[in-house]
Amino acid sequence: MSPEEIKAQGMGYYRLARAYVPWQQYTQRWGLEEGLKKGTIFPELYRPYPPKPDRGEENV
Amino acid sequence: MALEFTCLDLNLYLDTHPEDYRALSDFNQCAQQLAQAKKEYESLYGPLLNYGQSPSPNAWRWVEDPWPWETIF
Amino acid sequence: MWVYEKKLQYPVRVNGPNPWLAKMILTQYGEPDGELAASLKYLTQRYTMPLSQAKALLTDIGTEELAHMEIIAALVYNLIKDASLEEIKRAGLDGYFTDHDRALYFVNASGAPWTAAYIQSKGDPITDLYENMAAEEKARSTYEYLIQLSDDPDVTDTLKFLREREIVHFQRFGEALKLTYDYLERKKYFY
Repeated sequence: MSPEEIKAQGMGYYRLARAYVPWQQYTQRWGLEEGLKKGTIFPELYRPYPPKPDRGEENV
Repeated sequence: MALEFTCLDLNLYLDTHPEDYRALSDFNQCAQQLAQAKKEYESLYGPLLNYGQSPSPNAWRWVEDPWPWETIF
Repeated sequence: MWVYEKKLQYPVRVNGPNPWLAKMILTQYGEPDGELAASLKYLTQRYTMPLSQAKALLTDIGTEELAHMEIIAALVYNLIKDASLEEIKRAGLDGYFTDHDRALYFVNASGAPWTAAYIQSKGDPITDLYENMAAEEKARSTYEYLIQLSDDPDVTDTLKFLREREIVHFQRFGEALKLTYDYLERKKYFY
């Protein structure tokens, strides 16, 4: 695969046998207290535990 | 504590996004506020850093209790 | 060069002695997926990283893991320090107490002491980054199990903080992985 071919493929090109983590874009951040409490200042990285159960479903 | 944490998370972000200038200016703002807050804290409770990074004007307060694992929050 | 800041990264509160919970949390002190192993692993890997962003990231995350180790130690210390001998025996910590009283010691869940075999430093930067991503996920899962087990809401709060940090670290390592792949590919074709 030549460098031109790789460049031409751009973002849409994914190789086999490799892992990809989406690239974070800095959009907004929480204020001081909230960031500390939640464990990160970036809302898009926040994943609370235990996850909220859907309405009407029993939490397994 | 919260100020420093914000600086830290921005720090990590900037390590992989070193060209994000908006994050950089946020970080610098944060760092400035942090320096100010640390000065106030240290004047009340004693030095935060060892090895000469924090001044210890009247007495060697580094040895004072409580140490972080003993602090009652 | 390391400097120590005399302050925890996140506050630690406990609702009274709980040696059983302390025993569970101690695993994050001395386990292969615990904070000490993570910290030393990252700090050791940075010497052989080709990319400066990766060196910076490993230094910063490695240092943060030391701060987390301190939080774990503070949790365990506070959960054991006022516990009676009866409570300690009930928690199954009597063997530990014989050797260490209420002091902290690096052991895993079955009492085996910490060992350098827990530190993976393969040399290949891509391999090391994948290893780190896996380690962060393992730490995250362990925190989730601990959160389920915990019966002290203040301790749970601190555990949730630590868990969220692992998720953020995973994201950073994933980005470093992409950067390193890109760098290595450029090197391959342009030299």
